[in-house]
Formats: sequence, C-alpha cells, structure tokens
Amino acid sequence: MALSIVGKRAIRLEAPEKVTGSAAFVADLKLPGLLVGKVLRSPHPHARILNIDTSRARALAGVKTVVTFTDTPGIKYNAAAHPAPGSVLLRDQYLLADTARYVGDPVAAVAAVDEDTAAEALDLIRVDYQPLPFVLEAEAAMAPGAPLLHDSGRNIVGRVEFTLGDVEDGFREADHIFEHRYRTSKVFPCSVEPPGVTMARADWSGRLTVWSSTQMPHQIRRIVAGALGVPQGKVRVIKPYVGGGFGSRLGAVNEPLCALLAMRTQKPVRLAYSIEETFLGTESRHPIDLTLRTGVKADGTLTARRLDAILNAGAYATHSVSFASPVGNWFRGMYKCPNYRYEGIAVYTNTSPSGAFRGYGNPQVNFAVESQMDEIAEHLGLDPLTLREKNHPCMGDIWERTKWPIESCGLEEALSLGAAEIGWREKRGKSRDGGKGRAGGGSSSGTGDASSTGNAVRGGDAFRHRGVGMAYMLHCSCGRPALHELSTAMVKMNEDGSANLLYAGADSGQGSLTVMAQIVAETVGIPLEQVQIDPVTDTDLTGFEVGSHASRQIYAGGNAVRRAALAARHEIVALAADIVGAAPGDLEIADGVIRSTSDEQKQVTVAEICREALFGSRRRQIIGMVSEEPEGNPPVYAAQFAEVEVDTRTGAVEVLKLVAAHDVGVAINPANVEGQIEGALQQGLGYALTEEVVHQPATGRPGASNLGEYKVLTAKDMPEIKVIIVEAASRTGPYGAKGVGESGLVPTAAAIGNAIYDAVGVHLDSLPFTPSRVLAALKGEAGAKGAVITVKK
Amino acid sequence: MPKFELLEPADTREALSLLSELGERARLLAGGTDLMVNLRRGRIRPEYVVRILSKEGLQGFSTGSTGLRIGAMATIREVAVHPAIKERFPALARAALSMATPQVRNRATIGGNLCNASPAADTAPPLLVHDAEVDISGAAGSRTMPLRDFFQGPGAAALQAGEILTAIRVPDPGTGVGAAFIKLGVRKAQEIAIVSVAVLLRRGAAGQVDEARIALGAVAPTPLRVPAAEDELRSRPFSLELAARAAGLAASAVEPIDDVRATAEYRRAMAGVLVERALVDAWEKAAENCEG
Ligand SMILES: Cc1cc2nc3c(=O)[nH]c(=O)nc-3n(C[C@H](O)[C@H](O)[C@H](O)COP(=O)(O)OP(=O)(O)OC[C@H]3O[C@@H](n4cnc5c(N)ncnc54)[C@H](O)[C@@H]3O)c2cc1C
Repeated sequence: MALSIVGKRAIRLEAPEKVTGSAAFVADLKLPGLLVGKVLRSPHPHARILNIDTSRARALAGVKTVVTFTDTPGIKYNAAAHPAPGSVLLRDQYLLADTARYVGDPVAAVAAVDEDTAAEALDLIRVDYQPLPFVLEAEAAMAPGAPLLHDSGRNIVGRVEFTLGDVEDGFREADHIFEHRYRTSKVFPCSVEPPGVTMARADWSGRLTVWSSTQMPHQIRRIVAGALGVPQGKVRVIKPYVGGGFGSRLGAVNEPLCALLAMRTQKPVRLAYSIEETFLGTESRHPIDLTLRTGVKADGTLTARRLDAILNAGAYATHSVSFASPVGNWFRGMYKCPNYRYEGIAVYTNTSPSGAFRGYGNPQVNFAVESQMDEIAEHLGLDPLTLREKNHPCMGDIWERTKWPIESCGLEEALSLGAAEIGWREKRGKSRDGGKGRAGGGSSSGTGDASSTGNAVRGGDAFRHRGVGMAYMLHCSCGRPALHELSTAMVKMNEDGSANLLYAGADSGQGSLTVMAQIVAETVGIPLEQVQIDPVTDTDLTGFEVGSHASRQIYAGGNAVRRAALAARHEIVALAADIVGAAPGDLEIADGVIRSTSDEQKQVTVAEICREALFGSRRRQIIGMVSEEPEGNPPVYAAQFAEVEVDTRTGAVEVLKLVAAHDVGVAINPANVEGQIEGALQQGLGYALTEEVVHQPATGRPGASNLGEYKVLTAKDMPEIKVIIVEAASRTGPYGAKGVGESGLVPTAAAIGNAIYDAVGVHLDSLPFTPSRVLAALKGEAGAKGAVITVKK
Repeated sequence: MPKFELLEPADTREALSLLSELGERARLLAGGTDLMVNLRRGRIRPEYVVRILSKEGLQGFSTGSTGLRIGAMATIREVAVHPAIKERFPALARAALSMATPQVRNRATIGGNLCNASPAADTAPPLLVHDAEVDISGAAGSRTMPLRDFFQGPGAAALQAGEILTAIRVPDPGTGVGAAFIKLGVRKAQEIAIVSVAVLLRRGAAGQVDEARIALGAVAPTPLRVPAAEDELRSRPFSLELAARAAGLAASAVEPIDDVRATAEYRRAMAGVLVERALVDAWEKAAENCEG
C-alpha cells in the first residue's frame, strides 16, 4: 500500500508548546525548597591542591553545603556513556578534582538558597594551589619529560591501529605519493540550552531523581549510580525538553555532581552551567593533528592510504580511549583502496576534555582527506568529481567501517545534482585559468550591510576572487557493530483506537518525536493525531534506550518503534479477521479503518477492535513491544559544494552559496531532514571559518570563553543554502531511512577550503580559515610547514 | 551580580546633584549594554546606579543651520535610521547599523558608546571625521569640547566624576563632501571591530582633495585621527596611488595590540587596506555630492 504519513512534512508535535513558551526545560522546573548549586573551578591548568578552606563559605547564611574532593565518594568514574565492550571507559576522574588538571576543572561545589548566595559562597572558598608544569598540545604531551597528568606513567590514553594489505607495497605501486599534515581546532556545539542543566532530588526513601537535559537518559542513570556508588535501581532519570544536543550531553555533564549536592542536603538542587562554563568545562570536538599519505596511479586509482592521527584528549579520558577507532573507521571507510594503514593516538593535555560533537571524528578526518583529494585531482589533471566517482565505495561493496556490504548508495545522483546546482562546470577552475579572478558583485569583506556598501569600489574589486569547491562524505546510521545500539519501544492501543508510544527517545530539538509518531501512525494505520508521545522521557516508565548518538535515533530507535507498532498491528489484524470473518492477509488498515481487500462490506474500525480487545471477549490490551538492535548500519552519503569569494587583501572569506546533496535513505519527514542539514551547515561553516578555542600558552586559559569571543555565525552570516535530498532506500532502516543527524557538517570545511583554492590557488591545512591564515597562505607563509608532495617518475 | 541601589532622578539637574553627592560610589546608567556586562563580570562594583533614561534634553535630534545636535540618550537604532543622519552623515548611520544586534541597538545609546570609551566604539570614527563636539554638564556648569580630546585611554573618557555627557554636535559637512565607514570583523552582526575606519573627503573643483580626515578604531588605546595621512592628501589631486600612500601613513601611525580577535600585525596591515578602500569610496561619494 502507498505510504500516507511517511514522507510527509508533518508539523512538529511540540511546535505549539515551544512557540508559545510553555515547553518546560530543566531550568524551568521548580520544586519546594529548591537550592541553587554552583561550581568553583581551577584557575590553573595544572596544580596540586594543598588545602581548601571552606569554613567561611559554610558560615554564610543560606549556604546548605560546600563540597570538595574529600566529600565525594572517592570513586573514579568516566563521564562518557557508551557501555563496554564497544568502547573502553577508563575511569580517571573524581566528581571534584584531587589535582586540578585544566583551567576550569571543578574543585568545589556549593548549594545555597539562591543564586547570589551561592556565588558569594564560591568567593569565600580559599584554595591553596601549588602550580605544576603543564602541557597544552598533544604532540608536546607525548614527548619524553612532558608533565604527566595522571599516575599512569604516560600521557598516551588510547592507541588504535587498523591495517589492510600492505601500504608499503601500495606506495611502491603508486605513480604519485602525496603527503600533507592537517590540523583541526577545538570547537563547541554552543546549543541554545547550554549542556549541564540538571536538577536532582534525594528523597527520604533513598530514591535519587535526576532531571537532566541529556541525550541519553538510561546511560545517565548508570553513570550517576556508578559515580556515587548507589544502586542503579535507586536512580531515576527524567529528561524534559532539551535545547540542543550535538553530542555535548552524550555522557554525564554535571548530573552526578548535582546528585551529590542533593544527597548531602536532602533538598532538591539545581546546577545549571552558564554558557561561559561551556567553554571552561564541558566537552569539545577533539583537535586532531592528521598526517595523511596517499599513493595514487596516474589515472586516479588509489594504491595506498596512510593516516597518522594525534588526538588531543584534554585532561580526562571520557570518550578518548576508544575515540581513535571511529577516526580510523571514517578514514578507512571513505575510499576503496587495497592497502591502508591507520594509527591513532589520543593524548592527555591540560585542556578541557574533548568528547563527542556531531560527526564524532568525521569532520576532522574528512577535512584532511577531502582537502588532499582536491590537491590530488589538481595534480593529476582530473575533475575532483571524477576522482570521487572512481574511488568511493558503492552499493554492494564492503564498507570498511563495518565490514558489511553497503545497502544503498545515492552518491552519484548527489554529485550530479549538486554540481548542477552550484554551476560546477561553468565555474570550477575559472578563477585560476583567467589568472585574474572574477570580481565580486559588490559584496563585502566587512561586517554588515552597513559597511558593505563602503567596499564596492574600484580599488577593491580586483582583490576579490570567486571559486567553487566540493567535498564528499560518508557517515553512519548508528554505531554498529562496534557499539551497542539497543532500543526498546512499546505501542499501547487505547480503546478509542489511539496509540501511546512509550519510548525513551531523546529528542533534543531535532524533531525525532514527530518522526516516531509518523512511523507509528503509518505502521498501525491510524491518523497521526491519534498517536501520543510524551516528550518527557522517564527511565522508570520506559524500556532501555541507548539514546541519541551516531545519527541513530530514526534508524535504530525508529526500527524498534516500527517493529513495536507492527506487533500491535498484527494483533489488531488478527482480532479484526476473527470479527469480520476474513483472512488476516486480506485486511488492510488505513486512517483507522480496517478493510477487506476482497469484500468491501467487511470493515471495522481500529477503535472498535481495541475496545473489543479490552472489554469484549479478549480482556487484554493490544500492546506491541520490542527490544532490539537494528540489523545493519547503512552508510549515508553526501556531496557538498561551496562557492566563495576571497578578499586577497584582508584574507576574508565570504561563502556565497552552499549546496548540500545528501543521500539519507527515505526521508520520513523531509522538513526535518532539511532542518538537520541546514543546522549542521551552520556549525560546519563556523568550523570552517570562525570557531576555535586556543588555550593560551602562558596561562593555559581558553582564549575564548563567551559568545562574544567565540564566533558562532549569525543568521546574517548564512549564505544561500540549497539542500538536495537523495533517497537511496536502505534495506534495514524503518521505511528505508538512514541517518542524517550529523552528516550535514562533515564535508563543509573541506568543500569551503577547496573553493578557496579554486578562488585564489592556495590550500589551507589548518582550521578555521581565519583571515590572517588566508593572508599568510597567500603570502606563501603557511602550507610550507605541512605540505609535502612527492611526485615519482 | 553585585548588589547596588538603583536611583532614578527626575531630571538632569537632580541627576547631577546626586552624582556630585555620591561621587565614585555611583555609576550612570544609560542603555546599560556596557554597564550591565561590566557589573555582571564584577569589573565594577558601584554602590549606586543612577538611571538617566528618558530625561529631557538628553534625547532627540535637532538640526540647525550649523549642524546636527544628537542627544546623548539617542539610541543607536535611532541614529542608524534617522533621515537627516542617513542623508548628511551616512558614515555615522552605517557605523550605528553595524553595531551589535537589533535588540542591543534598541537599548544602547550613542552617549554610552562614547562614554564607555572603548577603542573599538563604532560611532567614534565617523564622529571624529565629522569634527564632532560633545556637550558636558556637571554640578559646576557646562562645557563643550572636541570629541578628539574626549578619549583618553581604554575605558577612560574626559569626564570628571559626576559629569554627564548631554549631547553630541556634528557640524554640517557642506557640499562636495563624501564620507565612508568600513568595519572589519569575522562576522556580519554581533561583532566588535578588528579594525574600523572612517574617512571624510572634500573634493575641490579641480579634482584635488580640499579636506581629508581619517579616523580609526580598535588599533590604538583610543579611537584616533591620523594627521600625517590627512596632510598627505590635502591639496593634492586624488589618485589611487595617493590613497595608497596615505593609507600607508595611516598604518604606520596606529598602535595596535594582539588580542583574541586579531594580532597587532594583522590589525596594522588592515588599517592600511581599509583606509585605502574608504578613501576611494569617500572620494566617489564626494563626487556625487558636488553641486551641479
Ligand atoms: C551583545 C553586545 C554587542 C555589542 N556590540 C557592539 C558593537 O558592535 N560596537 C560597539 O561599538 N559597541 C558594541 N557593544 C557595546 C555597547 O552596546 C555600546 O557601547 C553602547 O553604545 C553603550 O551604550 P549604553 O547606553 O548601553 O551605555 P551604558 O552601558 O548605559 O553605559 C556605558 C558607560 O558610559 C557611561 N555613560 C552612559 N551614558 C552616559 C552619559 N550620558 N554621560 C556620562 N556617562 C555616561 C556609563 O556610566 C557607563 O560607564 C555591544 C554590547 C553588547 C552587550
């Protein structure tokens, strides 16, 4: 039967609540006697804590508790979420630091009657630090004699190797070998609701309830219980509306600490980190140093690929022990090549911990690989599109990331639609061919309409050059087979024919709630309005759900939801068959009505069947329940194209247009898919152009610690955007869906970098492409350090 | 946020007497878009905050034969959209529009922008090239001074304790004048300048530069004029080469620093590029404004 709800641009279920401001986020929740928590953070990047005097803070009226390392349970924990064996969770962290390991490391916490009292209490705490030598860069931290962060004897926290074939043989076979070194920056998601907004209550029965703005309620329950040494069954996690995730709340942020304050005071406590604290003490994308060596035949066939990656893990392990694996997986999965070798090393430094951020290592790898592919194409005289078409893995090929055959591939269509939309054939190579560049249409390197007119002058136009560039990417639909991907869903049919979906999905603004409702409605055969899902997720009321990570929510969660709905539908059909006297196979359901395909007279409504089940002969409720992992992990493909204008005197890069052609499998809700991609492009643009936190060499402090200094691009900065959805249906996803949550930002930086090359002929090897970096590259200052191109024969 | 007592005097006279009585213990509040940020960050801890919102005489615009008077409490938005400013002082309108966000522009005042005395204050360069003057009132009386002398260092304006900036006077530029403003930053809104430049040129009948004024922001402890570059231009026939020469002089006159936004080196280089571009732009506008 044709689909009637899947594929529709259904309006977000929660839109009215959010638009009217009635949607409650953690910070909106109130309980009687609610206390306010605050954290005191280390001003030193590395220091022994000799003594903490909390007496004056404790004495302040309104202060209910002050805690330091000695008040914690003394249990080492890891804030990351993924359970073993898929990832190794090295426990190297206490709830409050014994030794300060980065500027921002929490050393004490207070709970007080209000915000001002809590802030004043922090001011009254005296900490005697003995500053220790510190190290901020990963490479320096690996060197002998570097200051050690933990007592493990070395700063290397994780090391991963992957090999196929023999790379040395492959390099011998190559006509050309390219080697470059790329560096990526430390960036933060900066979601509208900062990560680390928690409320906790310890009641007299010993129950601990944690309201968390998390992406993974069930994982938080386990992490909180473990960190505090309380039985997991005593912990209940509730996730209300969440204002953005992007990986920033993939594990615990401050839930265990807030719970500790609640347990100490036996009062509800709210601990809400400010946006400034985001930059000081929450997880960022890993800065990675990537040395990439590629062997290629004159016709563009790849013979050998080698990547050596050094990951800056920050001060605590969190995800980093295993993080080098996905980095290597993205690398080896991107292109077909009989020989590859990958080595990834994660290293502790005295900076805030790195962790998950949309794309999970792929944006870094993609920037390196796709920047280099552009140079290879240029060198071999091949169209960059041709080089990708020739080497990307396709349907039926083994995807090296999973070692499973690829279910579907829409890349070729994405490449050709994207190329047409950006005007690839007309524009690519024109700037460099002409040698003079094309003058810009009066747009500006300055800021704002206000100043832009000021630049439209004869003296300036000759310095503005346009170019187009592209990059391709492959991403995942979940974390299988490495990671555990369990989802549990229950579809409960009510006597009026409506359905409740009980599912611990972690919609953090991406709209997955609505898509789940579409899946239930389509699968059962009832109108969308008859499906109810509580946006509040509660671990007491739902089965285990991994949470929202790895672009999995619709692919993996949607699979369980669809299968639970299918189970309910089977029961409905079976009972209906009895009642109308038809074979179950003969019945279809649409819009809440069950009809026989062979006899029009035979029909009954879903409501009648559900009522009959409850109150009639059966006396049981129709409930479909499934707890399972999805079968596969189909890769998603995308090709992105950028058109830029580079001002060669200021180094400013203006992105004029972005085209994002994404194969997402079947788009269950195309508006949501476009929303995910557009939002990701905004983050990808910032990654490419402006966003970066550099820890200051002298002080170890983050160079940007608020949204004035950390440049998230604004609505005014967004270029024209064209999202093209390509639907190469997967075999294993619900209704053929694949993942889309992360992929939108993966190839953006490389596409922009390659467009800059097209415009002005320089390759940039470090993110972001700030005006001063672009200028330096134009003067021939940069690139010299990293790029080595060896041409044999 | 540190606690303070909010005082709301009925008029400017009462405000002045309160301020003179409280001295260093009080701070004036206009739109609060700088003051509140500094309070929250604990950079200032006044016991009293004196609010001068909606006070007569401090608001509004008046145009006369000699020029324009802008009340210190005029909001940045009002400055950006005021017809007389858009028409006769477009560089100032552009600078105002380049600031912050619509929300901030609705609250922020031009007086606050100047009194805050940030080297990057966006309204400063265009006002400097227009030879603006500021009216200042204190308990002891009123005075007027050139804006050029008003900026004394980062965060330091030439105000005695208890003084209020009441108005800004901008002389009419006359005919044959073109002015330009360019702000360099990495994003198009919500951006403090890395470098900002304003230029005013008067075009002589024979194609020579009759008058040249150049001001820069964010490249020295205060917004500043660059006389050496201005002198280079005066009385000479305008050309791209001349503009480049003057720009070079401007770049060597600035004293930028390294900060999170940019290096000193980049700032100095950009000071030259922006001055050159602004000169060309202003020259073209001057041609449009020539009579006949
Ligand atoms: C998000 C954001 C973005 C911003 N972006 C920009 C930008 O792009 N460009 C820019 O230049 N600025 C920017 N600012 C700074 C600020 O908005 C401006 O400087 C604004 O014009 C200050 O005016 P105000 O009325 O808010 O001043 P207030 O904060 O009220 O006062 C500032 C200071 O001046 C004193 N003061 C105010 N009025 C008077 C008076 N009449 N007499 C004597 N003293 C007085 C106050 O005591 C205080 O010390 C931004 C600020 C924010 C918060």
